[in-house]
Amino acid sequence: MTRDFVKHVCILLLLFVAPALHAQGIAPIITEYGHGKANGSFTVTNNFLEPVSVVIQEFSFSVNPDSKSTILPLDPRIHIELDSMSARIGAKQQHEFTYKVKCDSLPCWGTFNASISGAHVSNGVGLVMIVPHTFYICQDKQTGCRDRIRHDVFHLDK
Amino acid sequence: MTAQSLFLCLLLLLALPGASHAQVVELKGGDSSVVDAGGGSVVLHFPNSTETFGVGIANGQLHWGASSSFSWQQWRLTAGDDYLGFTVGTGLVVPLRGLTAERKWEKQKLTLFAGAAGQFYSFPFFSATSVNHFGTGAFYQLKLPHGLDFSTMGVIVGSQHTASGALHYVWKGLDASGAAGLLQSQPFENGSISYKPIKSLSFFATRQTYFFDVNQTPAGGTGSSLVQEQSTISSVGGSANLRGLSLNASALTGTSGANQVSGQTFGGAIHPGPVAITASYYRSAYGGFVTSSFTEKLTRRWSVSEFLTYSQGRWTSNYGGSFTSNRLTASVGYLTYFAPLSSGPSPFQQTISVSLSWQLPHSTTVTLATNTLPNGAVRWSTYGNSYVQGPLQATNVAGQAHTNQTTLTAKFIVRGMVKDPSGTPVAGAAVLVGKETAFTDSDGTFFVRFRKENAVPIKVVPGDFRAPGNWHVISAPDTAMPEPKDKATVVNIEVSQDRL
Repeated sequence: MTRDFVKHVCILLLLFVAPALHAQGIAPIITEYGHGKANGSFTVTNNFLEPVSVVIQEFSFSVNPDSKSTILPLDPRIHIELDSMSARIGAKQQHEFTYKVKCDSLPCWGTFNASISGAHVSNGVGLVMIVPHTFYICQDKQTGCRDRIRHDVFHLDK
Repeated sequence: MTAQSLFLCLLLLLALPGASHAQVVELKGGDSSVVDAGGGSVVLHFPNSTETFGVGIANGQLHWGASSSFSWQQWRLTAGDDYLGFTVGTGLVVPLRGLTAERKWEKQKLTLFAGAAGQFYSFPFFSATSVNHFGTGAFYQLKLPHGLDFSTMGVIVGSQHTASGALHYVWKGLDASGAAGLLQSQPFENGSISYKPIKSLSFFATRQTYFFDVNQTPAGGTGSSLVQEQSTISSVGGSANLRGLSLNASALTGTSGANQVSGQTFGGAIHPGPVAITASYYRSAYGGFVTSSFTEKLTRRWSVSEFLTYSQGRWTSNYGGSFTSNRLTASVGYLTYFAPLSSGPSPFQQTISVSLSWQLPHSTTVTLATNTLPNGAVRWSTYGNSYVQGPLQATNVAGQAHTNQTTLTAKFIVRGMVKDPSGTPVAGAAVLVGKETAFTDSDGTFFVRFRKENAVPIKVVPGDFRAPGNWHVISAPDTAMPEPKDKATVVNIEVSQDRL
């Protein structure tokens, strides 16, 4: 008896699930770094059916004891180098932004806001979607850096 | 002409004039050795509807699919090919051809179907349905309090019945889902549960039933017949992370007809610096073998791997690696699967895994990837897709430009600032610098990195500004010279917005 596997509904779907999966917006949302430096990247994914433009801008932020965060201009003691500050991303494609961060004092933290917008409009309102990528940099180990900053600096529970 | 051919012709006639008016036209094409399939499809995205047409060859036979999806009052209607399926990870779908109506409420979803059902061919490049019998069915989903999600489905097709229910429960570190019932009159039970009591410890247990259509040729006989075979795979295991060392263990059993196979795995991984080292032991009734991998991240984009296998007293080695950039992502590696339907003696099969994805201009992507079948065999799929903007969409020069691959190691930079006549920075202005489109931030500034210190053309593209309105250029240089990043002078551009 010879066997020839030919077709099956469920298996075919499972086989192609992985290539079909795409994170929407930005990934990762939060990154922790240790040993006082950051050399990282984040990826913006365009899940729309038309090209979009993305502009990256860096900010600092603070969090009050009620967990409300406030966006602030970038702390001048934080030095950021981005490979590119904007990009055109085709339909259903993605773009990786790489960066280096050095801080005059540690720990330090900040956020990259990626503002995503579609085609130009001559009349009406242009819509912009903003998604953040937040980084935390500690002097010591990477693991738990965000929790330590939230606890020691912002006085929040872990 | 058969009824199916007539239906296809009518749908194509409806599609042809529509293609020239579609907002976005999605084109797909490809080939796969999974079932010797090749084909293509066109998806027309209109503001209020989506039309899909696909045709291809699978197992030497021509198959096609077509559907039109649109809203009507509170319902989402699909005429043509569709499917009913659980959203919980059971992989259970019933392919349909007819009229499907779906309505969503805040916590409920109801789908009704009438038409025919049969076999489903789903690939990234085309989908097709081969229907056999008339049928009808319904799907209902209800989100309950406390993270509980309930869904049920019933389909009657000819003499075959599909009736099943599924539950999904998420609470703190617990994630449990299960489905049971009849699939084409055959009983099945699928389920999975994972529990993560603390961040560094997790446990899981799964049970999954698979159904396969198998061509059987009697020994010494001629011809073949299509029969359905069932296989069930169950597994239980856990993993722990201890100060940079991760450990995992699992036990698996699988049945294929009257045969039952089982196996156990034990493994660990450490990540000292840019190196990742893994080692696993796979054990079954046919003996055991050890696999190990050493992966070193050479740069942000490049990594290399060596895969070692110790089996039956000798070592074998394979090599792989990966490259990641914005245009091209490629990887070659080796994975070990539990394959109870394997033709080899051991249920564990080590297979090559290759993937390549190339992002081309004009929203075009080409992908090549391996697929591992339940019997451990490796097949290839290659496909591409592209999005063409229709006349309802704005297109312009910058819109067609593709992002270059720049890196932090590029030593030269063009910096610029865009202002209006009053000196106010213009956010969202589009400037084509060389071949790359840059957009200004809220301070009106932009920069583009270059590897070489060669003059590049500059072109302001008002039609691509993120800022609404009609803009025109007052002054801008024709070229700019990339300069060392610490000494770069700022290119000044002045634009003005037309008053309404």
